[in-house]
Amino acid sequence: MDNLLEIRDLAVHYYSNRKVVEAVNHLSLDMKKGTVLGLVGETGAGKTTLALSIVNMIRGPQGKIVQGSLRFNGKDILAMGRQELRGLRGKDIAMIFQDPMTALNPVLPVGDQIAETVIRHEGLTRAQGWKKAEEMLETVGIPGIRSREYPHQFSGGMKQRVVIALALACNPVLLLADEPTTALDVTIQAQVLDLMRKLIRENGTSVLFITHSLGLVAENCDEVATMYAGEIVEYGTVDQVFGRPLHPYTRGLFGSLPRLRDSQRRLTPIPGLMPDPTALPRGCYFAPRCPDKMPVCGEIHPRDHLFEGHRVKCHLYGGNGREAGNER
Amino acid sequence: MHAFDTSGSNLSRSLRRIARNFGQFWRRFSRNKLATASLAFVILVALVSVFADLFYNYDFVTANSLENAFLKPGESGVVYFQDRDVEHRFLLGSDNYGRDILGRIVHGARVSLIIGFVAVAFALSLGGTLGAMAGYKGGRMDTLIMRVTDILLSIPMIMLSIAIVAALGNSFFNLLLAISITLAPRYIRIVRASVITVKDQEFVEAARCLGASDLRIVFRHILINITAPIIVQSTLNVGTAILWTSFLSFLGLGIMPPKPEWGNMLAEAREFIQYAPHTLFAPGIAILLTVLAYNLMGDGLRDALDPKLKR
Amino acid sequence: MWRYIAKRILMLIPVLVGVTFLVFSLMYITPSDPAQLMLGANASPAAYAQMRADMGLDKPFIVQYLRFLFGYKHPVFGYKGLVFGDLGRSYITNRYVFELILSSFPNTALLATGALILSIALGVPIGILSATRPYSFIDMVFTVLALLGASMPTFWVAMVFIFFFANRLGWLPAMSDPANLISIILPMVTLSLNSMAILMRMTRSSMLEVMEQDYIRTARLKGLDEGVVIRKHALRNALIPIITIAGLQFGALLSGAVLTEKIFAYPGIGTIMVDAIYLKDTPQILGSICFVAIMFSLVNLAVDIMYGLVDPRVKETKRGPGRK
Repeated sequence: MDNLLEIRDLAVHYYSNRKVVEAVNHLSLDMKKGTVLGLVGETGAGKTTLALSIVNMIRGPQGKIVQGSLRFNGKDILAMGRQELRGLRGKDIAMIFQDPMTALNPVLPVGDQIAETVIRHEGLTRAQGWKKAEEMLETVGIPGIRSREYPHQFSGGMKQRVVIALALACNPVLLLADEPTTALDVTIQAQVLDLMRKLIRENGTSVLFITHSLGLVAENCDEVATMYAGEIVEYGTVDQVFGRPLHPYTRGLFGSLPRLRDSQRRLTPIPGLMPDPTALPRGCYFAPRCPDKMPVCGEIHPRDHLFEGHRVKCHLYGGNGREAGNER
Repeated sequence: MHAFDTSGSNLSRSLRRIARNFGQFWRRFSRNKLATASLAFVILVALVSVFADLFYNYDFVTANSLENAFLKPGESGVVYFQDRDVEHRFLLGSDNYGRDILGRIVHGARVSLIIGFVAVAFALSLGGTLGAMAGYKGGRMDTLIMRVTDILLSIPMIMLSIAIVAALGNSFFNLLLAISITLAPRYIRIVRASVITVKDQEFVEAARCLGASDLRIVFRHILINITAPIIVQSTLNVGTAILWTSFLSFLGLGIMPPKPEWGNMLAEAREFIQYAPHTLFAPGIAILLTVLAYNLMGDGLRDALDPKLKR
Repeated sequence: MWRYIAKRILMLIPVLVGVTFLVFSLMYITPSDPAQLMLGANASPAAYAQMRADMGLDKPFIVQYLRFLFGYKHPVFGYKGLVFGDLGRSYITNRYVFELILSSFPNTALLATGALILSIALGVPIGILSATRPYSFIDMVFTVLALLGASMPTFWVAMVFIFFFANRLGWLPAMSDPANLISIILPMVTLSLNSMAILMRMTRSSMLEVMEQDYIRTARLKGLDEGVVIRKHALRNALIPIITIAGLQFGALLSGAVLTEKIFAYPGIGTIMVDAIYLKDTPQILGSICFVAIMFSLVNLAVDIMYGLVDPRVKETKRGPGRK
C-alpha cells in the first residue's frame, strides 16, 4: 500500500442560522507518497475545508465532519485522540496558508514561532530550538539574525518564507499548501514557488497544492484534482487532465484562461455561479451551468467513471466508459 | 443615479426600502431576548412617566404626612390631602416624611427620562455639529475642536458634571447643561471619525460633481451613514445620563427634594438605612433596572443595526 | 521610543493648560462671591471693595487666571500658583489647599489601586474563562453579572453594602479609614465592581476576537497544546487592548472614588472635593479638580506609553491598529 493519504466518502457540514452548508460532499481521494497533487477549483468549492479536515481541524460547534474516513499512513485520523492529533499536526502534516499577513502571531518574534514547533515535536531545548529556527530561516533565504524580529518587520513575501520555514521545520511527510502565493505580488510568487519546489524535492515531501490557477498546477504538480461544490469532479495526472480535460467544468476552467497562441478574441467564462451550498441541486451539481447538459443530469447525481485512465464524475462518460464506482 | 430626484416614485421606493430595512433590523433585534425584554421595560417606564399623574397626584407625592412616616410596604394610613382624610395604601411603603415611595418613584421616572432624553438630544446636536464641522472642514477648525474635546475628556466625566453644576448652581437647566456638555465629546469623536471616513468616498465625490451644496452633502450623505453608531451611542447615553442625574441629585447638586427624584430619594433614605431599609431599596432598584435596560437595549441595537460593529 | 515618550509629554502640556483654564473659568462664573463669604453679609461697601482688591478679585479675568497659575503676591492671600503646587489657604477652613490635597491623595490612591487590583484579579480571569466557553451556562451567568455591575449606581451599592455588611451582619465597619485596612474592604469592593464588569466584558470579547485569528489556527496546526495556544498565543494579543482598558479604568477609579468616598466617610480627595463644593470653598474646589484631572491625564499617558512597550508594532508606528 503506497497511499500516504486515503480519503473515503468524506462529508463536512457547517451549521449557521439553522441552515446546513454542505461544504464537502462524499469526497474520496488518494495521495501517493512523494507526489504533488494540485487541487483546483473556484473560491467556495470547499478546498480549504478539505485541507483542514485532513488534520481534523474543522472547528465545532459550527463545523463538523459528518461522515467518511481519513487515513494517513494507514492510521485513521478521525479516530485519533487529542494528544495523538497534536503529535501529527506540525510534525507529520504541516500547512501553509493563503495569507501570510495574518498567519503569524504579531507579538512573538518569528524565531520563537518556529522554535516552539521544533521544541514541541523534536524534544529540543530552547537554545537548540532557536538554533534550528535560525537554520530554517537561512534555508528560506532569510538571515538567521532576523529570528528576533517580529512579523510586522517583514514584507509579505518574506513573511510567506517564514511561514514556509515554519511548515517545513519538522520535515513533514505531507504539506498542505492552501493557495500559498495568492496574496503575493507576481514576481514574489515566482520566487516563493521556486523555493517551495526546491525544498519539497530535497525532502521528498508530498504536497497537496491548493490553488485556483491552472498555470501553477501545470508547473508544479504531478496530479490534478478538480473540485466543484465540495466534490472532486475530475482526477488524473497532469498530462492526462491537461492533455484532455474530460469534465465540462474542467474544460470550462481551461476555456476561461487567456492563451497567447490562440487567436481567440475573448475568454469564455463559465456562465452562472456555484450552487448555494445550503441547497444543492438534486442531480449533478454542475448541471445548471453545464454546456453539455443532458436530461439525466438534472435528475441523477453522477458517479465516478474511469475514462482513459483518469477519473471523472459526469454522465457523459457513463455509457462508453468503465464504471469506477465499485473500486471504492 | 437619481440621488437628488425626490419625485413621487422615488419617494415611495425609498419608503419601501426603509420598511424593508426595518423589517430586517427587527428580525435581528428580536432574536436577542434580553434586548427585546429591555425594550419592553423601557416602553413601560416611558408610559408610566408620561401617565404618572394618572397613577399618583403630584401634590400627593410631594406633601408631607408625618404621622405616616416609615410605613412598611403594603401598610395603609390615613392621609390628610386636599382638605380631607384619605385612606391610602402605601404599596412600597412611605419615607421619612410619610410620602408614598412608589408614587415618588413613578414621578421620579418622569424627571429621569426627561433629563436623559433632553440631555442626550442636547449633547447629540452640540457634539454632532462640532464633530461634523471638524471632520468635514478639517484644518484649523478641526484642530481647535479636537483640542477642546481632548481637554473635556481629560477631566473625569462625572467630575466635569459636578464642576459645572457646582459653578452654575443647581437647577434643572444647569443639570441638563452639565450632563450634555459631558456627553458631547463622545459624539464629536464618533461623528468626526465617520465623516472623515465617508468624506473621501466616491459617492460623496460624485454628489459634489453633481453640484450639491456642501451642507447638503453633509446631511444627506454623511449623516445617513452614521445613524447606526449614533443610535447605539445615544441609547447607552440615556442610561448614563439617568445614572448621573441620580448621582448629582444624591450629592445635592441636581433635583432637590421635595421634588421626587430617584437620587435625592436615596440621599434622604441614607439617613435612615437602619430603621427603614425599604426606603433604600426601591429607588436604587428603579435606577438599576432602568439603566440596565438601556444598556441591554444599546447592545441589542448594536448587534442588530450593524453586525460589523459587534462588541 | 524615547522620542515618542517625550512627544507625548509635550503634547500633554497644552491639554493641561486647557483643563486648568476650563476649571478656572467655571469657578470664575460661579455665583458665589468669596469676598462676601469672607466678610459675611453685613460688611460695609468699602470693606467689601477692599477685600475684593486684597483677594485680587477686582482684576480682569485673564490676570486672575495667570495669577492662579503662576502665583499672587499678597501678605495674607498670596500664593505661589498652581504650577508650583501652591494655591494658598482655603477661605473656609484656613488650611493650605495643597496640604489637604496631598495628605488625602495617598488615601484615594490606595483605594483606587486596591480596587484596580481587585477588578483585574477577578475580571480578567473570568473574562478568559467566559471566552474559552462562549455561550455556555457559566458564560451566560458572568455576562449577566457583568451587565449588572456596569449598570449599578455605585453610590447606591455602597449604601446597600453598608446596610448588609455593617448594619445587619456587623462584619465590616460602615465608616472607612485608611489606618484600618479591614475598613477599606467595603469601599474597595464597591469601587471595583464597575471596572471589574468592564474588564470582564472587554477581556471576553478581546479573547474571542483573537481566538478567531489565523495565527491561532497556525498555532493549533503546529500541534501545540490548547493551554499553550491560549496562554502564549491568544492571551498576549488579547491583553494588549486590555492593558489600555485597565489603565483607563485606573483613571476612572480615581474619579470614581469621588462617588464612594463620601458615603464611607473615607478621608480621600473625593470627600474633600464634595465638602468643598458644599462649603463653596473655591480655591479648594479648583485645587482638587485640577489635581485629579492632572493625575487622570498622567495615568492615561503612562498607559499609552506602557501600551507601546507591550505591542512591538507600536514602537515603529507610534500607534497600533487595535486601539479603541
